[in-house]
Amino acid sequence: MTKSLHTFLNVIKNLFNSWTWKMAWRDSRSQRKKLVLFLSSNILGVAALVSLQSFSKNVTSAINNQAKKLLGADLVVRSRSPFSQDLNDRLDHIPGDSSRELRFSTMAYFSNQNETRLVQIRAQEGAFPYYGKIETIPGTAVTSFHNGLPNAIVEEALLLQFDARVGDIIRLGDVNFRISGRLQKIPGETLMISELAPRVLIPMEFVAKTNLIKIGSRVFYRRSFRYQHEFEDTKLVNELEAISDQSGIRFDTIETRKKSLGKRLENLFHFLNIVVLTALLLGGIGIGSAMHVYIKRKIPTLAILRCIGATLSETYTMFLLQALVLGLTGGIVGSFLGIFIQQFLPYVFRDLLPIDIEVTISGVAILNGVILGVFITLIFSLIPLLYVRLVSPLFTLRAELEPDIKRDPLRFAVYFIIAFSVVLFSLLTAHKWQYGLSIGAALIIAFLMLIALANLLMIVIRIVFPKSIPYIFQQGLKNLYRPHNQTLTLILSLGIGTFMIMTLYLSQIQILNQVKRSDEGNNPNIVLFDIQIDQLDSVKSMLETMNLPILQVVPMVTMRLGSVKGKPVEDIRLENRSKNDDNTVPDWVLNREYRSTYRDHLINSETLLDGKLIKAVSSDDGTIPITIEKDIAEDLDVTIGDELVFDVQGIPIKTNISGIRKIDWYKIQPNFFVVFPEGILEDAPQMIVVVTRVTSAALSAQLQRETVKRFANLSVIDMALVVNSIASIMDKVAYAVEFMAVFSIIIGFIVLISSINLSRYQRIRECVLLKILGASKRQIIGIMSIEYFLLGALAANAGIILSLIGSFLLAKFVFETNFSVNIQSVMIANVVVVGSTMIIGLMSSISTYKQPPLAVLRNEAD
Amino acid sequence: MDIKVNNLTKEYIIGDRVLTVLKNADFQIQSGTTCAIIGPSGSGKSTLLGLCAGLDQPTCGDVELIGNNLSQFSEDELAKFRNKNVGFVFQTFQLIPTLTAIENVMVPAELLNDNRSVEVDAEQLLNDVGLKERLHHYPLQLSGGEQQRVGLARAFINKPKILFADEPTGNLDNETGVQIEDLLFELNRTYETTLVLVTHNHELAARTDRIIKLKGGEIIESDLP
Repeated sequence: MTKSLHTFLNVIKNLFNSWTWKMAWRDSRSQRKKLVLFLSSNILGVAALVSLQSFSKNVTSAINNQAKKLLGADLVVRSRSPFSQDLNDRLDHIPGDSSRELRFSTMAYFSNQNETRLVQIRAQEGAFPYYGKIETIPGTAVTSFHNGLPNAIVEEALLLQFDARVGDIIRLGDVNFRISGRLQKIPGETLMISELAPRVLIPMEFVAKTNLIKIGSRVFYRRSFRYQHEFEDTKLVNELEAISDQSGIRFDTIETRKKSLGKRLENLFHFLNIVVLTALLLGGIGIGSAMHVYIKRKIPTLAILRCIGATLSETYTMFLLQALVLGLTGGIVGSFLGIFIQQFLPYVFRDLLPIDIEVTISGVAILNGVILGVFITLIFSLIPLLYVRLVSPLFTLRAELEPDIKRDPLRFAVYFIIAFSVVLFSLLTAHKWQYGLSIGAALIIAFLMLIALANLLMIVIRIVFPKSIPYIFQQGLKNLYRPHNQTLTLILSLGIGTFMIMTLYLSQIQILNQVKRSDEGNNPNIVLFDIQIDQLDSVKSMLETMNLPILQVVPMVTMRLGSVKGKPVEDIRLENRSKNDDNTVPDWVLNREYRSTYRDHLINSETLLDGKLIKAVSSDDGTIPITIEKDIAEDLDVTIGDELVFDVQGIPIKTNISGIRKIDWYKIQPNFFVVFPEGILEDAPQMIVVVTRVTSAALSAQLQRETVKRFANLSVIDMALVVNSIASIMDKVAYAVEFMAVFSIIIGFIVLISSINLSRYQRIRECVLLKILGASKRQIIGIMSIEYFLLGALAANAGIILSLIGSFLLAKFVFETNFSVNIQSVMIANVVVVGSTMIIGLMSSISTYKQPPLAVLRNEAD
Repeated sequence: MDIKVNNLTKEYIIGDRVLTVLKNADFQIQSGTTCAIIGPSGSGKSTLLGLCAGLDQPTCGDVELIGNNLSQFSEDELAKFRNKNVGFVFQTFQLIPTLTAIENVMVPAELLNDNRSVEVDAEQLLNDVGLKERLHHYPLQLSGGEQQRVGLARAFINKPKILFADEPTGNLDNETGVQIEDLLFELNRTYETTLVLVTHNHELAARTDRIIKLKGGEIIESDLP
């Protein structure tokens, strides 16, 4: 211990010794070009980190600077039901300007094109937005919007889809609107919103004439306010807070909007940070493996220096300085590259951010990059630096005395430092220590599994080596476990890269496939909603005329929760506030408007987990037996036999839970948290949903046109469109994630190139010897091809196995879907990784075949 | 007396077997004299040289160089002792491939850090061994004989009291080998160094004051030629 401390102190002392600096510089001379390649993995890791950190700071400051634009007003109050008279009176007293808006979904009919599409209507009255402006083409569409004419500003993507132009007619319910502009941007909103339901802005005064809003229609009411300068809103905000739970209103001030958006984006950036962290660690592995081979090749030099009088600490410091300078260069160059990449990030994230980003450089991010560049290099150089400690001066006389770190007990301390650093990085990256610890542990487990796999593979090949196979196969296989092999390095670097990319990709297609499956077979794929009771027979007859099956007729009754297990919801809310911890009933469960149905059977997306389904009761039976969805039962902390009271449009209905259902939410059809038996809600005000199936896009379009023509207030959801919209949204998120993940792929390839390059001398010596002994070019290429093929295939499949485990866990515990292996992507990953490994491997050695053997050896020597 | 070797033994444990490569070596070498250690391959010559130079630890026995018992030194102290008092010439030259000829020669002097003009001394030594025109060449750009000349210059840069040479001509052709031998003995005389060399070459051994013969790890003869 005292000896180690003494050496450590001497190392520090030697950092200020001119000889160590001089020797470090001289010694690196012939390797500097190669070091650039080693360095690039570190540079890219740092670049990814700096660009993301610096950009996230830009986003934070943009949120602060553009806070008013994000909301478009000082206060927005919204509700799913019309505001009460009292509330309207109170809001009317706010000094300043105010606007009203209704939002609801309906079918739009493009008369010129004879096409229909589900859209989101925004009926506006007043001058909203007060901050920022709605961007349209032509710009005059906004100024002339409230000119008393039926104008509509329509989502640009929707107009492009139907080849409609400004001046064309769009029919909404009973009113023909003239398209006055193409909607490009609304302050504070992302383009993602337009994916599921494209936005159509119309003046409020035409809403009634459209006849679109009926009983049960899902309408969102909003009022926006711009305060007079001197208005202090604290009292108002407190009042709104006090009544928000009871009256079912929500409100946003600039501060709350800033916070909620900040939190949402924080989550995104935390996730991306993990992606970047992996890239950084991968870069660390790259530079670590490069240092490993570099120092191993320096063993003779080390031995000579020790022999002629250099102390251990002097030689150690010499290589430490090289690693330090390497890390510092990587950190500085990586930071500058990061700043360059940062300029492109606003474009990459444009669909995910509702704000304009001004790119400014963050000094803190650069400093972090430089520090991390140095730190990562030093941490991952610790194992190779162990060699320096073990080199004996006797090596000058006996070349067979190569140091073996497997016998050095200090290696355990080094492994611990590396593992600790990985966890430390993860903790600094994640916003919760539990997540940080889990991510760190997961990364370490992934690394350990790959190391174990590589070692297992070498052992297995050695034990069960097939002796009767042709020579080139034998040689190729032996290269996997012989001294100076590349197996561990390549499986680790390529395996981790493949694991990351494949996990992202597999999870994405997993979700999409789940959604797509609901559009296959005999599953319903068209949902008609907002049907009034008096329209039901006509709708059914329309479907029958078109030979379409009526798969489900689902009534919907809106209600609110009154009490849970005898305790009024207001009391639970009060308890929640006083507890202020994670064990409380979530607010949304207490406050939401429940849209419930009644029926005497389960549908194919449901499974009864517990209890029983009571098919029908009469209103005289007292307490009504209902079934409830399992997650919401957990949130409410209720089980079979517990009592829930619902307020059905003013009338309290006492129920008790007779059954608990599990719902497969990926089957997109009307699913319900609460299902009543038949015989109770039939007379309550309700709207009907009808579910059918069409066999072609043409039939779907025909049905939508017919529906809009005959029932203006009805809306139609086409599952094919939903699948496309979800795919498009996921593509946008995936694009941003993949952009950051690309760093890992590139680093994976750099590590591949550098580790192949580093072992090149070893391989070339063997090739030359084989050549001298009479091996043909074809045989030599054959041996190398087999080695690189096996390495690529093993690394790819090791990564794929890990990604399958990862995506299985994500599917089971996060997305709650059934897991299935996507063979196609597994094949593609194999082809890409194996192909690249072989190409890079062979390309780096091909030039040597053309030269005479001794010339090659002389050129390759230091 | 520059070198005192007392009852020196070196054993290696391989599995459960003890392999004795040097057994009870016992001799002394006077200051300023030359001595050759000869013997067949595997007789323990290089082991003895390594132990004498403090490059390895004996299993038992001890080595005294210029009155200093090497077993009393730590690794770092040994390194500093070698730097100041011992020079080495190797069969495979052992030049640092990333340093030029003059830089290779300068390294031991730079490590000594005694404020003299290292570069001038190195240049003079390289001039003395006939490499005036090759100062800034890398080892790869030099022939075997030239590399060994650089090795000789490096060995004498700190004016060591003792010089250990391991088969100094083993990798060279006869003619070059003889030139290197001449140079080695000439420099040895100039700097009044005690020379210990390990060799297979009986002619080379015959040029030394004394020959120690080894066989199977034991000294079988230790007489003047």
